[in-house]
Amino acid sequence: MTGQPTNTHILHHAFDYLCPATLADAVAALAERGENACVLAGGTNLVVDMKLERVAPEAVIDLSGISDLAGIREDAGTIRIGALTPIRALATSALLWEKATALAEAAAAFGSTQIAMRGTIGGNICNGSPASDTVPALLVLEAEATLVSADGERTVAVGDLLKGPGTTRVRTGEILKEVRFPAAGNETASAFLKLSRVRADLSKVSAAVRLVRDGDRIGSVRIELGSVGPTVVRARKTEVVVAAAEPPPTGERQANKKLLEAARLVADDVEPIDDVRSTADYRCKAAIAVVFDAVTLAWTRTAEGPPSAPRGRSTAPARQQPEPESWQVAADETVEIELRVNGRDLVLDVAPNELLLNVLRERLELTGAKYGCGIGECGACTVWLDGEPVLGCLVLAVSADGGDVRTVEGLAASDGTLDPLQQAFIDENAFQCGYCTPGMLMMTKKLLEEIPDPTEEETRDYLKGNRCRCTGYASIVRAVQRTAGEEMG
Amino acid sequence: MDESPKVDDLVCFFADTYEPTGPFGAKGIGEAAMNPVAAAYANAIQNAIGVRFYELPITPEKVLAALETEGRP
Repeated sequence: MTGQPTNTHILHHAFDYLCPATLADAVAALAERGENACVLAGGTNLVVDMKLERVAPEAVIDLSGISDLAGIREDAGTIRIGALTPIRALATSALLWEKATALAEAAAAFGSTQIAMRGTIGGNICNGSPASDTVPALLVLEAEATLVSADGERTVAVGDLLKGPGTTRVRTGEILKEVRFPAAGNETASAFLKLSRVRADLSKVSAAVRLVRDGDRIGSVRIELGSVGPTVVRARKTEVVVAAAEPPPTGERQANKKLLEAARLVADDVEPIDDVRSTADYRCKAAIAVVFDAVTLAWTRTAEGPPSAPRGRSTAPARQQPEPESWQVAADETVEIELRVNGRDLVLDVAPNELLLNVLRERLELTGAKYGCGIGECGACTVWLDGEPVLGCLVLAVSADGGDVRTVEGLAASDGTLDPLQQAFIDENAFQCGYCTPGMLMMTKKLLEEIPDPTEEETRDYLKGNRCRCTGYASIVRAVQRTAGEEMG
Repeated sequence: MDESPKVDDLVCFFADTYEPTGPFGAKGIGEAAMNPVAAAYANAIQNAIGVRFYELPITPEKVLAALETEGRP
């Protein structure tokens, strides 16, 4: 439990890997393995935690082969979201922007694009982080969670699952299957705001607000705060005063003393700490401003309606397993996986703790994708898996079985002609040392697929999880816009 | 925001020195260009709020604390 091992290049810890094809098989496997097993959804927390030696499960049960656990749908006034739904699917869902704005907004503010593409709503809840972005939003939406175990199903309020940092009241043997909440009616609006050091970072403080309008007054309000206590915390005192106050006008804080006074009451409900991201004192004061702004924003939306969904889309396809059967491989064994890499069909023998990045770099000699931080923070290892960018340093090679991988080596045509985007990077001098460039290329290639004419703002937001430490981002943005301009004619 | 093209003409002078840690007394030049950036930010903040910072990084936490010490909201 060192917290910071010297090397995150490889995953030292060995574990049995189980890939159930159905939820019933997953529950049975978890019942058998009990506390010695961890459930793997997107892996953006679990793989990092295993690398950093924070957890050492005997078995990892990968849910990614279960096809019916992902998806967003509205069903008779209730919105239902499968636990395996990627965060980015929430952030790009027109349905959620319209009827659960705070959740869509929280998903849009979530970590890096790659993490949001891979990380899931179920994983975000079960990780138990007080800095979770989706949990404050789910709480103001009064969401319920359905958990499945060998004993059957139970449905509880998401709030009843909160326990403390890094832990929840999800019981041993339970798997989160779905969350659901009522779709917002016409008089209801919600908002989510967060403060962080940089966009891809966890919040210093966040606030989700849901507000029901009653004519010219606030009918009711619910406020939940992230990163200011051991769990997400409810600002109960503020809620009472805000609901009784005159409706908040838009604009200046000083012009609305009543709301500001109400917001100041959050100090009674929060217990922030000093940590690497901020100080307790700052969090306490910033919480007041964030609550004020979030309430004002939600109030404005009760009149003006919700914002429209941003451009871009989540293309995460439900992956078809070669054989939809449950399978497993022991920690000390290897298994044959099938991978298509840049159009070539390969069969590889891999151990459960081998990472996709290392298989590509060291066994296939595709050294374009780089090892940077090893914990999903720099984007240098970005490759595509089944058409979506993933961080190769956080993907278990076994879980990519049957997948279609594309790396920077696969961008140029077979005769060596560079992709127009690669040529634009050269023409705009969009690199210096080149270490981040393969990741930048794989991300911007995908960006142009999602949005053919991205603005600078859209480009920078999409690249928020890709670090360049020498040239800077201006020339990269220009290369993207040059390519877009050429392709649009 | 003003950017590099709006800066007045710069005049360069060479100061002959010997850097003992560099080969043949040479001094790296890449990092040197970074130094004035921090000072420029500190000046901009001083200009905006009247507080001068002498340490990096100048975080929002430090700015808020400094404003409170100065008796502002």
